[in-house]
Amino acid sequence: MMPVPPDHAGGAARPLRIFLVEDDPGFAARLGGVVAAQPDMALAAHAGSVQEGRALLPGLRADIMLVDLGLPDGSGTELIRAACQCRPEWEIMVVTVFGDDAHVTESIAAGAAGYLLKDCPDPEIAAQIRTLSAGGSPISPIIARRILDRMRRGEDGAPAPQPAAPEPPGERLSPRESSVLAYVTQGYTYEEIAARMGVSRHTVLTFVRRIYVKFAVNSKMAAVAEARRRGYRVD
Amino acid sequence: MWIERAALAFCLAGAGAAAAAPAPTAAPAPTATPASPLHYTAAQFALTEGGSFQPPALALDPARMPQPGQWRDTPLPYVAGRALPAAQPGQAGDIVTSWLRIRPEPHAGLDGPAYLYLPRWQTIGRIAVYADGRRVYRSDGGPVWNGFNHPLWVELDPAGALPREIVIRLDHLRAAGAALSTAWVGSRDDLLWRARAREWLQAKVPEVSSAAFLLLGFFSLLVWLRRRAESIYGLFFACAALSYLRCLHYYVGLSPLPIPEPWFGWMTVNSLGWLVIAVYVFVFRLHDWRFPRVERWSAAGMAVATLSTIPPVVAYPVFALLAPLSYLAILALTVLLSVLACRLAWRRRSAEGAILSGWCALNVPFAVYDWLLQNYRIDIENLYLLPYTAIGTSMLFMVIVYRRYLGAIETVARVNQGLEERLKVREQALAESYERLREAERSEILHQERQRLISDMHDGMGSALVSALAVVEKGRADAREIAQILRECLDDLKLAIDSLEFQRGDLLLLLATLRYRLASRLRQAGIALQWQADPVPALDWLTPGHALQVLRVLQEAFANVIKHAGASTVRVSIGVHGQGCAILIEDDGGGFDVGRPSPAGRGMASIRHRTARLGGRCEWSAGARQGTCFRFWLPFEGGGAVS
Repeated sequence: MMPVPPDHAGGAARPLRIFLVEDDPGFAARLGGVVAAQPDMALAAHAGSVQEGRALLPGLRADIMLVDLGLPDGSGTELIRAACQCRPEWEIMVVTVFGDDAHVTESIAAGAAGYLLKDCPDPEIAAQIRTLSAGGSPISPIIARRILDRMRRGEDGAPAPQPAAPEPPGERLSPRESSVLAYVTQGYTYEEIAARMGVSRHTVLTFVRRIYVKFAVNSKMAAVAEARRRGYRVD
Repeated sequence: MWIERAALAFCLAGAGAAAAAPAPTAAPAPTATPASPLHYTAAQFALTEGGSFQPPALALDPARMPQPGQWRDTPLPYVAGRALPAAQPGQAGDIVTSWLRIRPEPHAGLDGPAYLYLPRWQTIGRIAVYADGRRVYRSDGGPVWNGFNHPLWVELDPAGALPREIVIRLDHLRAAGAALSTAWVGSRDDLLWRARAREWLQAKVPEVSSAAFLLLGFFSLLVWLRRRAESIYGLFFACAALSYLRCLHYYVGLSPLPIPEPWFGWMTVNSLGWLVIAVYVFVFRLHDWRFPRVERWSAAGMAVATLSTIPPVVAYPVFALLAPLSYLAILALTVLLSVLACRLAWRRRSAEGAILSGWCALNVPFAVYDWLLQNYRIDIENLYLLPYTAIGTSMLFMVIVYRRYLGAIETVARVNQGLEERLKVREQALAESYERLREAERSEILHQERQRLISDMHDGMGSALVSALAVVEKGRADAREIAQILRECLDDLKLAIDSLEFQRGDLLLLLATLRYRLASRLRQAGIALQWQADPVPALDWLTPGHALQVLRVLQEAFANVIKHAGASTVRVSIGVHGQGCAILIEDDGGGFDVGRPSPAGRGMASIRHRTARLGGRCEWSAGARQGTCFRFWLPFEGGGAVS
């Protein structure tokens, strides 16, 4: 039995159950191979479309959902939203070729907590999946910049309608979360950021995780506000 | 008589205060059943020579009075006709005295003091009234401007006794003639309202109306002072001012004038001439009619008349005596201008012009009437009517100027609205053309981006894939080599995508992205990366196109380290150096001779080429201890000559 990675310390012998939604049989087979090779991981299910994925959502027992964004019958983002709603305990990870801003930012806003690059070597795939359960997967500097900008715009551009009301928790980035993102935009790795901030790598990962959550919450609130605004206009 | 009736009606309708006065009965003959008031339509008259304009004596001196045989009966109104001044100037000033005598008999209804009321007297001279030989009234104004248009109202005896004899003495120029209206004797109650009504109709109406017109004229003057181009406002003021001056003589003269009488006369006569000219020029200007010759000749003629009649030139009293003749000249001018204006109004079918010209032409018969009245040719108890037609003229003028003024304001509002609409249209056109411009710019940018990506893929990925294909086709398919080539292709592609999402000017973010992309390659090559990024200012000139060039330069530099240096550590530091950003890539590998041709040579040439196009600098040098140090520098401003 492989030693359980420190990030997953305390976890029982139960392996990480992975739900893969991917229409590319090549990558699906490769990932299946990688997961099968890991003693602490198991493939819970494989779906090839949004429809299949949705059908599996309610009854499936899984820990991590890996979703390709470009599915034949729709965008993986839909599935991410649905999973966030009915399986909030799941970790969701996007599978992408380029990790480009438009796709990744959208999926993070929908509730994904990280993303996996398809061209990354097999051992790294496993490592990334493990990292996800400890926190967020690495954020590219461009996406970090985009999140910083969006969160700041949310603060400046859309003031709360009732200033007296306490703001819901998790709406703003804390200064330390902001500085983690700022370091990312300057090219530093999580290890280097931890050293610079005088905290452990684990703490930095926790910050990253919170950043993902807050970003998703904010995006959802912005979407609701936008819908409401449009609704009023229609009225 | 009709005037009193009209006045009564006027008072009843208007003021109402005089309504308490008893209705006038038919005028009683002096000898018939006497009842107050007594209306005298006949008197006794006598003329004596050698009069003077000295103040008349307080008491009548029988020696200087006409002899009893000189008196003869005369009807009232009494009129002594005008005569042209004699050729000899000495006789022009010949003063005679006309005497009129009334012997009122006691009559019923007279309780309290008796009053004498004379609706009008007119001459060049003075009047005095004696009751039982005692002077009870004398005119106070000058001989020419003596209050001729005011009725005479005299208390005959404060004690209340009715005098047996009333003598009215008129000292006047023989040539000027003289006129005296019928006379009324009676109680205050019976006569006062008649006197007041006549006073009002003869003197007050001209005074009030001309003053009101003048006030409007001042408003018009203020408008004209701001808008000189609109001459009708100035002409309106001129008409109002001249009309005011002209009307003065209808009501001044009860007391001495503040200016010498000859000057006042000169002003009164000439103001009428100028008024006629001003009125017609106003009418012409109002309709943009031009009669430059008529206008010029009228003005010139009037100027000559004005200058040639100033008092030092034309001696008193000749001027006063000649006034009726000058009025005839002005009347002729009025007729001429009226005909012109009416004809033009007719021809141009201008309703406003027709009304105005018609009204002005209507002045002609009134002027003739007034002239006749002035020359005693009609009953002198009638009213001068020109002040009344002047009211109509001034009202017409006022309405016209008011409409013009209102029209101007409305035009301004309309123009403003039109401007606003035009502005809106222009704005829309501008927005559309701006949108088109932006569209063109956008498509131009798209085109440039497309060109950039194509040339980048051609140089990078394309050639890499071609070489991979060649390797495979030659059957020397070294899986690792092909994987290496494909991996590089993928890296190229990722960098190209990153450059598309690059935010302008943020060099540090660009370098961070490069590190993020290259991290796994370096890790696989077993090279540790030390990263030191100091904040640097934004490079505003750094477009996505430039960003890709920068990425390619650094990618090439890292590739050299990975492939050729055999290094275990690479240290990257970014910071400000002079007027730009410096990027140092130091490795601890074997180093190389910069001058010697090597596999890295082609890459270095490409780096130099790209750096030059970016307007930056690059150099290789030996590292501090070992290895190679690559320096890459980009200016803060003015970089990026790359298309």
